[in-house]
Amino acid sequence: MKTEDLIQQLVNEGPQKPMPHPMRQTMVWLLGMLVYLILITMYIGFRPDINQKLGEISYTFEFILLLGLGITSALSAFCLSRPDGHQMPWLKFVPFGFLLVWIITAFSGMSEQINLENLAHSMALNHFDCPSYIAIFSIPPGMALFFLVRMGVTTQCYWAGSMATLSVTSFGYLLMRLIEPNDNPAHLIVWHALPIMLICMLGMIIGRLVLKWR
Amino acid sequence: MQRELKDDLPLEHLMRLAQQGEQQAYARIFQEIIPILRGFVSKKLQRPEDTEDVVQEILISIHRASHTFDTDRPFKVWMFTIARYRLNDYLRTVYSKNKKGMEVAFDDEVFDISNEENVTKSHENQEYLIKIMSTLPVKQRNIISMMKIEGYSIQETAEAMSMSVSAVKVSAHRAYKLMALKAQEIEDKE
Repeated sequence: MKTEDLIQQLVNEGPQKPMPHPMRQTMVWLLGMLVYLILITMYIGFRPDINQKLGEISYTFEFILLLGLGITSALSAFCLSRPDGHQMPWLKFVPFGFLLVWIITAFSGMSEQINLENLAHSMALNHFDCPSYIAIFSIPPGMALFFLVRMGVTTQCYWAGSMATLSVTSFGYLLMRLIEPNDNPAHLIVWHALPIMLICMLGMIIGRLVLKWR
Repeated sequence: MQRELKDDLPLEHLMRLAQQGEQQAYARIFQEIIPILRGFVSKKLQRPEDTEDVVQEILISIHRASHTFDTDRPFKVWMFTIARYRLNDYLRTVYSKNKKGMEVAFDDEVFDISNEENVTKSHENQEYLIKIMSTLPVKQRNIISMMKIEGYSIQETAEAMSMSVSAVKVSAHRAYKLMALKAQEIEDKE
């Protein structure tokens, strides 16, 4: 086909209706996610010491950081659903800032409790229910987020996939902190943080399979 | 209703109009970007027909991704990201094909066959070249074939062969030496 004919054909079809701004998509997404989070938490029930925990600065700060992680990674995923990443290539690194601060604040001053013996002991307890909850909680919003990202066009499918997964799993982690009364750092590392890392890696692969622009 | 468009409208503004249903603006965008895209693609591809194929692919991709363009952002950054993506896609396909069938693709080579003498000459040269190249180790033969027959740059050849640029240069240099020796041998025999 001649290029001129192709252009005529494309012009006749006309451009597609523009997508909403990534910020707007994130706000809508966040609203849906919070409703989902509240409904699930109400169904399962808050941890018994929630009132006391909310009074602790470190817990509230952790809560805010996880929220920040979930929001910025969702925003990154939406920006990455544009071929040019909405021309903000630095944005995909912002969630790592939240992640780093969260790791430092959540586990600082606990070096005595985080040792090989405790980690091995925690592993032996087989708390598979925690990662299962995180995964189950993350699957429906994860599917929705992947679907929304797929409505765009991504040229960085691994990044988009991992950001989408990081967003939903950070909300999953948040949920677990709201419902599970276990603050043992070894448990949190082995049964919460590590599974999230694995799920994010899986998200990268899913991103490659589902989001690649063909 | 279609209105007359000013000549100096930026691409972002044209896209905004196109998204509002101005077909003329959409057509103008394609007309303005085609020479830019041809220039961009032809830097990487030598054969004009390949260039045109890739340009068409890019145009289709731009059309299919038109909903992702934010008219408050520069158009060309968005456009070149798509162009680079599609061009890399094309090069990847070509390289993987070459990797699968690494036989020297003389059939793809374009010879000037405007008269019979040229045809004979071309065939003689071709046979001579095949004869010399067949004596090279496989890796060197592939490198020479890609660089000297298929027209790839050193950089592209290095990428396709999963080698460093300097390793390709060294291999090519060795191959030239071997070919020169072999040519000398053949001439001595004849």
